[in-house]
Amino acid sequence: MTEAVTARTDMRPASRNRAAPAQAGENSLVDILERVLDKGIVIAGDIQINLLDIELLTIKLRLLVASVDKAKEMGIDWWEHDASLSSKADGLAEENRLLRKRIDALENGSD
Amino acid sequence: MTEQATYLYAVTGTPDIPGLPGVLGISGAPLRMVGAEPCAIVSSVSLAEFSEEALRRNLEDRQWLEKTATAHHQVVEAVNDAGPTAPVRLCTVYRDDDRVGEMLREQADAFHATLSRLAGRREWGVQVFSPAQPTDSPQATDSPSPGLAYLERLRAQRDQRADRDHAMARQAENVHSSMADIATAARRYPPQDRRLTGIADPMILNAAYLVDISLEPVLAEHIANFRRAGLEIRLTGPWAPYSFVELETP
Repeated sequence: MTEAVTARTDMRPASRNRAAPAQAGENSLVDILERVLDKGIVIAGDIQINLLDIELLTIKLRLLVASVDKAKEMGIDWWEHDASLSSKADGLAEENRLLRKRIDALENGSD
Repeated sequence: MTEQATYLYAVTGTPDIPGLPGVLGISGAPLRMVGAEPCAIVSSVSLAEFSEEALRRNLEDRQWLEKTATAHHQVVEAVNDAGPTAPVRLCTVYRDDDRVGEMLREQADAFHATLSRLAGRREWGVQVFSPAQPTDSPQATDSPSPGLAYLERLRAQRDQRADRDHAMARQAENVHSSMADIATAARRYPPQDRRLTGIADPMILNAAYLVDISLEPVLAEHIANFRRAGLEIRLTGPWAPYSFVELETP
């Protein structure tokens, strides 16, 4: 194990990027999506999509499952049928629309 | 000609990034730097793809999301390899480079504080899985009736399962606390669903640790010990410090 970590430590990112998917398959993509969608610095850009954290999480939930081919092979498509999930998503979308309107109003007012 | 906007990947302490010329951004666009210290890594993106409306549609498109996330991640990794880097959340888009420069100047102190905390440290992901448990065959009992015997067997199975669940939860806590002990910072995340991991055993710990490079051999030793004790552990990384870059709000 010590060797394994040391070896990874010495790797250049280019080779790391190539090696990771081979080792972890689909998981690597899941881990990447988990990080790039959920984590990292949240700064308000000029396009406000990154404020919609909750909406993104909902999207992520559905897409992550959909991104695993195995799940599709197994016919797992619960996110399309789960009433609580889709109604919750609708609610969040509505909430986000209202929030966006408020942001627009605030920005137009302050500019 | 389609209107362009500026996509922000990461903010780093220094514009000296040797690996950067070999990396392309989203849609194969060349990368640029804005500012010096701190320095933002950006590329041009088409507003046809990255307007708010287009983004909402595109984020629902699995292939688009995977492609974009992968490109974003590769840029972040290349920048992070050169020194402490704060990855920015996917799809942070500005009107132009000047707006990114403005943001950098406004947030310079916060970025400096965050970046200095990251120096010499890297993020590792640790996922622990509950090993497959053999289903115990119910023990014969001396109960006077078959019905009662059946209920007793069910109760015994349920108790065994509860005991195992407790034992696994304790194991997960053990792993987390021994990692947290050597880490500068730790974050726990909800375990990923089995349908995401593709691993039949349920995930019982999903965590990220910011670890001093000098302590990485200790981390590896801990993982090896837990594995020897029979735990199924997935170690991922080193990652750019996605999980440890919250900017303090002024």
